Amino acid sequence: MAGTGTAHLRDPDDVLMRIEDLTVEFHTSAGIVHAVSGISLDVRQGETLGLVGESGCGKSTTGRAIMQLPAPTSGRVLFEGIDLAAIDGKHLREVRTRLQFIFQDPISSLNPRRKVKDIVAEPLRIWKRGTEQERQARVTEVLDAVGLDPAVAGDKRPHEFSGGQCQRISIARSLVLEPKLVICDEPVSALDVSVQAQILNLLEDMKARYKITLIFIAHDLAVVKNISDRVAVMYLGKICEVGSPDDLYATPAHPYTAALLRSIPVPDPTVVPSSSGLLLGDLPSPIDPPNGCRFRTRCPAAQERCALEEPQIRAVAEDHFVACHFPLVGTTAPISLPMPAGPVSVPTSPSSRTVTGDEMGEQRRMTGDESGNNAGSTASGSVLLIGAGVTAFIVCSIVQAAGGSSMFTMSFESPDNFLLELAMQVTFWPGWLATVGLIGAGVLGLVDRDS
Amino acid sequence: MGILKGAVTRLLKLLAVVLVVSFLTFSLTKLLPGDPVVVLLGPQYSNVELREAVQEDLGLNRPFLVQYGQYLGNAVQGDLGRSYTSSFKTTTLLKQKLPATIELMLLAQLFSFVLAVPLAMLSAFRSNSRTDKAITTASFGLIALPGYAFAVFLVYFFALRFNFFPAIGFRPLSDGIGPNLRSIALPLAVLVAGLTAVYTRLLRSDLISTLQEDFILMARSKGLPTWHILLRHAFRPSSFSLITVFGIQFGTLIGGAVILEQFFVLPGIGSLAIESILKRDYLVVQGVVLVIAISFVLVNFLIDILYSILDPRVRRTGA
Amino acid sequence: MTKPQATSRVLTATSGHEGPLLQVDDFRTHFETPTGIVKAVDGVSFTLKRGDTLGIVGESGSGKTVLARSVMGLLTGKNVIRSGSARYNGTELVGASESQLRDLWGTEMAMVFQDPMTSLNPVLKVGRQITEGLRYHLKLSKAEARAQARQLLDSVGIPDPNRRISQYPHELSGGMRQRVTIAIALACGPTLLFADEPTTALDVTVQAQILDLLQRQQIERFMAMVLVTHDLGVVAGRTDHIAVMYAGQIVEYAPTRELFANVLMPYTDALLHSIPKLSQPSHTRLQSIGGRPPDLINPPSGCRFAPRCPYVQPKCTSEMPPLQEAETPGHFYRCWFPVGTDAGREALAQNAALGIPAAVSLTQTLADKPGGTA
Repeated sequence: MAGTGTAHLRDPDDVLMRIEDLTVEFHTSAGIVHAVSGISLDVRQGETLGLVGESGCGKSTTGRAIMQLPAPTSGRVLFEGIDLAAIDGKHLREVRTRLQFIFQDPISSLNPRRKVKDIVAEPLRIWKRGTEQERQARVTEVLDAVGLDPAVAGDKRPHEFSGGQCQRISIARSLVLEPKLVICDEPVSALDVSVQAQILNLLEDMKARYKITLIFIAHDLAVVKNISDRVAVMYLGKICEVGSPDDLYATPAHPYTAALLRSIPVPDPTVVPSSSGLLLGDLPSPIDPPNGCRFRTRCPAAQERCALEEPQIRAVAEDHFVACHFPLVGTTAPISLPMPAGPVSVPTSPSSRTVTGDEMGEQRRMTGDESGNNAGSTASGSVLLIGAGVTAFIVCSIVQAAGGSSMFTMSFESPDNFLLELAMQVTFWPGWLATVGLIGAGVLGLVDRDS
Repeated sequence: MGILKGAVTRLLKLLAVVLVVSFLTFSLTKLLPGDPVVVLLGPQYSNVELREAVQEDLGLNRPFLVQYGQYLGNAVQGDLGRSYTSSFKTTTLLKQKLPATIELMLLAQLFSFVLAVPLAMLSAFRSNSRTDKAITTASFGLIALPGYAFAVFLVYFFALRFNFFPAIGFRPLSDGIGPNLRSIALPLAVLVAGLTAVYTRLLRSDLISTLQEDFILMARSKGLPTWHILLRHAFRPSSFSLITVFGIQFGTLIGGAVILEQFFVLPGIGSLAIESILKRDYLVVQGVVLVIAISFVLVNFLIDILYSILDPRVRRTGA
Repeated sequence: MTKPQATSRVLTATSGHEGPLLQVDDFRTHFETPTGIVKAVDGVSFTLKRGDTLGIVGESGSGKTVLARSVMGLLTGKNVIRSGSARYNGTELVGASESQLRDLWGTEMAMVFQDPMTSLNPVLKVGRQITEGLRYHLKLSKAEARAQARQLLDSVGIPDPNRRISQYPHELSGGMRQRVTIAIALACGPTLLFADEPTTALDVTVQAQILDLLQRQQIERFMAMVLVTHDLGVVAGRTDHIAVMYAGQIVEYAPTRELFANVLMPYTDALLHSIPKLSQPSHTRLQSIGGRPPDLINPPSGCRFAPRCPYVQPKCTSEMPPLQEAETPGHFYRCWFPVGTDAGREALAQNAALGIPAAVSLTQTLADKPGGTA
């Protein structure tokens, strides 16, 4: 029961990108982290999809999984009808030119040793687009579009710019190849509010000017509302609610969305912050997420059914979808599972395991590391290496024992069997080097694995 | 529980490492050019019968794996074979040479650690002050100065000029603590000087970066006294690279003090290794390497345990 | 030190001195750097009564964090130059020795830092980090201190304090960690609490919990609190006064409700307009502030906001406006052409007529929104 439904998806012919049943899991020493569990989403051409949720909800992992960084554990990512998870590396690199990514930290995502015009021109050079002159013209155009003076900014290096200007450079770099879809992962959360407004306005302008489609990932609900045409709220690797921003923010249907909205401090002193309706407790561990509805351990409206049956996404209004049995808008979900007769004991106390900083850190590290999934196979690799080493050793020993003399005295005293002697000489050094190397590498692998 | 389980698996892994090391030394000494039989027989080597008899006697004509198995079996029982050249048991030779090495190593580590910690703290807490600059300059000087050069200097002043300490030789502890300590004072001073300099540099730079941390500011804002902040808050998180290098130095000191041992004519493991290599006395070489490997592995095992005590974040292995 | 002394110090805090608990006057903190003197805090004055909360709002580089740390005396580098006056309960803090300050830290004033991930010592148990202050300042025994720590953890809303007390910071969630740092700050009963961006590193649902906790503790313990933040939303409902900082100076200071009702300083106004609001429909054009904050080594000689201000006039670039009191008593601002006054409207209209982009777009925003700030 990984899926939370696809009722909110639109006609596949009508969308630029469609994610189906996307699942991302990371293997850690503590267990399998269920970062994203069977979510489905789509974006229309020219639309901005806002993906919002708190840290650990899987929104950034989703963004990276779309880029196949790393590839999702399962599920399909259809971009212009092509499943990105199924195509080979070369093809994928080609697709990635139409699919760009903007990172949260603008300063560290730019190479500090290169000039701005080279940073922006780099994708063009890599893909050998146009002549040098055409490239320069293109760089000048996008730098101008993002509000930087190409004549002044082009020859500077990133450290000479503020955070906001660096984010402009990142945007220019992502636009230079004329992408179809740009995924922005928290592009304004490292910036001051006044600069944040500049970048949000800029993204709106760029969308209009270059006809791009945006997936905008952020934790700030107000920012997401401002820029999005459609918003998806995520919690612990699942989608809670999808809808048009004005509708979703005015009448949230999912108790989690409602709680989120209530938590936001309003810059208005006449609104007295009330502590009622705030979420209590902490995010459960993504290693051992609650069964049924993942939000039920913190949900004020949770009932027995929420633990037994995972809610499926369904429409509660026009273009407003929710994954909740007892939504705040619309009707209670029709029962799809036979409810057991008689009282059922359901754990209602919050899951005792809460996510700790280390687990989060681990998760983050895994996200950045494509080889992360292979942690378990290192041991078998080591065993294989040692096995190969032992085989090499046995072969050497047999050949040399057949030589009849002591193995390690390299004498040529019995020239009557020249061939055997030759075999001995040939296997001697390479054989031993292979033995030592293979066993050594294997042992190192074993020792290194968790030290 | 977690710590214990981690320790056991780690110990098993280290046992594997010792086995591999012993196997590698065993095969590598066999690979070295030259035949111990030549050494034993000398000019009589051309006598084929005698040669084969000796080979038979030493078990050298058996298959390699059998030889290694026998060696390992004997080693587990505490028998590392008999020296080809001196008719002494390898273990006897090791027993003779180990005390000087171990005493020198332990004392050097102890003194340099005790000296380095306060020096580094002073240096880091008052970084860029005159004290810090003096300590830094002295450390760099001692790191740059080769041990044997320093040794020449010490011998010249303290042994030849003023005759405070003997220039060469070793008196075991059984001769009394005073004479024993006097006999190793100069080599100890050379070792301590170098090690202290390295440890001070290492701890100083880690302390300086720790002192920039928010939790130090937090501790200060609690109104705690400076010594408390340095010892309780800053030292532990800064000690990890110091501890690592400290562990590695044990291994290096056991076998690596060859030049010093030669210079001061100390009966140590290093000189034993050199002598036996020159004499093609492979069994002794193997014994020395095995002892170094085991102690190295053991010390690093202890360091690993110390790590998990010092840093709760690494205790999570297998949790 | 003996126990009676410790208690007597607590007594002086509660009685004795009349007047404001914290009085800051023309307070400056400059840093000597190789490129020049950075005027991070440049002539700040405010007072704070016991039981009151002051919000200090500003963007990064405005000097708000330096102000809090420097008033407390936590900045000690050789390159730090503090001048002016900051009196706590009548005791001058500027020029006080570290040991004098140390007697106040923890027991009289305490600080909660931004990131609980880095402000707790990773290798010490939570309990130890709470009890060490109690044992040092209040001379409690080990058992007494532990009992007190348990009580503190309970009061900051940490369930199962008996278990948490022997855990390490990395075993707690972010919100829990910030609760622990609050417990540490409150341990020795301070009367003045600095909270430096206490919720910036936390998720929004946790942020609400932590702000509630701080507010509750402040009322229960009758503390004065300085809440430093970049988020006007955080201070709006939870402070008595707000000081808006820009480039090392306070540019507007007023009772909270008054500030939001009658913004006078163009910077505050621009800040309010640049935040996306939940009440606005999607795709509302935001009023951004062009340019970037000034260089604090050579700040502009006139108004420091002048280079980015839509209201800017020649006078603004030549003469630094003083922090003057408005018609409403207690509302101070630093501007020649304040928002919502005739002078301000005229200045804006002039700039819009001249085609200065910031002024044009601001005029449009005001026109789009009937009953706006003007």
